[in-house]
Amino acid sequence: MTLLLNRARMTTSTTGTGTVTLGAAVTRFATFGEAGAVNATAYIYLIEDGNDFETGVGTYTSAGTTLSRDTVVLSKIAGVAGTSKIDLSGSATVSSTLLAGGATQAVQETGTATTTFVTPGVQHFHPSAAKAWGKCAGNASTVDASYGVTSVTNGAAGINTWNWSVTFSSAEYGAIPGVLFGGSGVSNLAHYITSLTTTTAVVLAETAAGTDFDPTSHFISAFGDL
Amino acid sequence: MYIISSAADGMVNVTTPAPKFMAAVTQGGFGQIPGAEMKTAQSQIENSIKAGFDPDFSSRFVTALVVGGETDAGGRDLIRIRHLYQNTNHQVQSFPTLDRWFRDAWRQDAATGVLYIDMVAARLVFAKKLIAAKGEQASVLISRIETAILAGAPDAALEAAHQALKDIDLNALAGQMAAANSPAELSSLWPASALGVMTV
Repeated sequence: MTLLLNRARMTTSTTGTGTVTLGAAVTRFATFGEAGAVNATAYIYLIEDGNDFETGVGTYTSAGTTLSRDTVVLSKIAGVAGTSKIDLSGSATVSSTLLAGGATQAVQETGTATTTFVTPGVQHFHPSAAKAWGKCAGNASTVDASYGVTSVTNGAAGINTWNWSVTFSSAEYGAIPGVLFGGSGVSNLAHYITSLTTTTAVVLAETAAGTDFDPTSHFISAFGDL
Repeated sequence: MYIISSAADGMVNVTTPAPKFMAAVTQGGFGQIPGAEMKTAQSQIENSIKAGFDPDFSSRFVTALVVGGETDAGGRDLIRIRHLYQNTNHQVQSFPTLDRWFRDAWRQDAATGVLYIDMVAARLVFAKKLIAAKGEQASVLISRIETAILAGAPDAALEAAHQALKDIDLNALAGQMAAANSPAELSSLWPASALGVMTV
């Protein structure tokens, strides 16, 4: 896991493009160690050397004390942006910083990156996140809470269609129905999905005797690829 | 307000717009589709077209989710086009107050859009629920009667209740059901002494 450090900035006398040996803390800043850096752990770094900078992911080693430059995300050397490493002059500073941009939809859907941050706008694209969910009255007279839902259509007793505002990339996704029943006189209430499309999920609730039945509330959550 | 429509099989659909959706398409965003990720919006438009929706509608739908701009009527229109396009007789009205016990017998007048309970369908609902209730009741009673017998303490009250179930005269009931002219008349035929009050 890649981490940030609180207000850590250090000098380095290292030259060249290899691993950086960390020197002293810059005035009013902490060392990586003081900021809580853990040995053999990756951190997002920023190296500034004159007018050049390099930002990326590096591994901190407490013995030494060093920071490897494993992946350069962005650098600008002599006015040229790219992913090259700075040929350090011996008077650079190294700090821990945020990388701009964050994960894209594709990065979230892949779900394996450990070197980028996730903004709220793309969080739900991770496979583990619900793409839509909701709670409505059993007769669908109210949609009490929802996400990714345009509406609920009650088509008959016990039959509610959840209409998504998102469109799944295919009908190969998971939808989990649920019911709440606070009344009496009904036992072994069953509920299940009867139909699934890229824009809808139909949920049926029925009694053990096979009578379609309005529970107190219907719930749904859906997971899959958008 | 609710969108009332009729499916191809005559069943009445009552569609409730989600407040979050209506807020998004009228005022914009709210994370229903990430507004900052326009590439996502584009892929949602493409998914919508792939799902069979008109490109112009797909663009309008996704754009509204991201930036808003629709009226309440426009929001309901988006729902109707996206989800109820196979339905007819769309009406926007308050939640129906018809007897929900006969929900599956609700129908919509093709000319006026007014909802009513169709008596032919209502008799089928009544029959289906009666048979289900009778079967469930019998199953429970038989289980309890046999448990009592095997425990060496037969329960005459349970056996009487089971006999009352068997004594329901379905032939007579069929005639009474056919003669019933309203849902209320039909409901009054429920053999409550044997089955208990109508619930499900």
